[in-house]
Amino acid sequence: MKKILVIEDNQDNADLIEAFLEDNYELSFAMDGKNGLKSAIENTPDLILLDISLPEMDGLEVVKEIRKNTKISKTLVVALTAHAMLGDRNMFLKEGFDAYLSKPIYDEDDLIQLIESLLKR
Amino acid sequence: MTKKQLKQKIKLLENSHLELKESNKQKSDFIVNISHELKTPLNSIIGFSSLLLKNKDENINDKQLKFLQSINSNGKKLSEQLTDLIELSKIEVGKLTLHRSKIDVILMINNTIQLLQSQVNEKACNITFINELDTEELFYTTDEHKIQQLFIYIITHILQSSIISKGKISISLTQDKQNFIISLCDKGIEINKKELKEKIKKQQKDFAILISKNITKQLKLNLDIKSVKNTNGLHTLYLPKKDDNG
Repeated sequence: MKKILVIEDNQDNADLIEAFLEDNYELSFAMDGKNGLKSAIENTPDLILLDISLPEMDGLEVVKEIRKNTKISKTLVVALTAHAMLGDRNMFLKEGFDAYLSKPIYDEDDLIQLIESLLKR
Repeated sequence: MTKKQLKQKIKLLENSHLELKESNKQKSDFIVNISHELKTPLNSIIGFSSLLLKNKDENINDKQLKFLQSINSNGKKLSEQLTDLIELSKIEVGKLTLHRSKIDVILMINNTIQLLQSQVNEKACNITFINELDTEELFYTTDEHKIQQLFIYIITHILQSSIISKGKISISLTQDKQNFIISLCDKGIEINKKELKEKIKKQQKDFAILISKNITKQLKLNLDIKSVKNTNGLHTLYLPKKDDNG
């Protein structure tokens, strides 16, 4: 089973993502940027779902650190953000994310489809 | 009043104008922020009810599924309204910039109809487009995304306010000396004039209509809504010819 790390500070959102993905992936969670980065280095997940607005260290800083660290620099990272605006997508890709998902995430199938298409790359 | 007094008055007016502008911007920013805050809990309501609706363990009965469906669809509705509210606030402070290009209006209308087909089918409605011009292409310089959004808002609005299904929405494209004219009208509802007047009064406060009016203003077009017997109103969009510099 592929390993996914979810870095999200809102417990309800984390619960929802867990409910969506628990049957298909091995999940681990972190609630802030610092612990998220630590967990990524320790557990080397296949993919990381990374919230943008996080306490301690925000998503943009976390992805920068991931890309710098040779152990996990190739890990797939998906940005999760509520403030979706036109033009944001390119900004996130430029910052080092592999994909971008605007919250709210309502649909289990959409999320799994995106993850699967990234894992196949 | 002396010249000096007049100058002071002008200064005063200028200042209060700036203050008003600033407080209007603050109000819009506030609405955008609060709407985002309200959307976060909705995420759980919609997401978890969607999940339960799948009834994976097959232990939810039909009645419970119906209630869940209600939670889910109303949550989505609320979320859409918040999106509209955010959009409206952004338009009000002019945060939305226009990207003008030469577009084919006829193609745009056909594409929009196609885009909305599933919604139209859901309401068991019928949508027709009659091009009364002598041409198959009508090029006009405007913001393609915005004008399409405008159409989606108007048609969705008509669909939502339709009381009974099996209605008919007709779109027609004509012209006069000054304008290209696109009219949207629906048929299939029996309501009297008084009811209709009240309905249109209520519509003025409708988000979709507010946004539509804001977009038309931004695009320098004119939108007119008239009460017509047995309909949800005749929506007419005027595309001024002189403004088309393309």
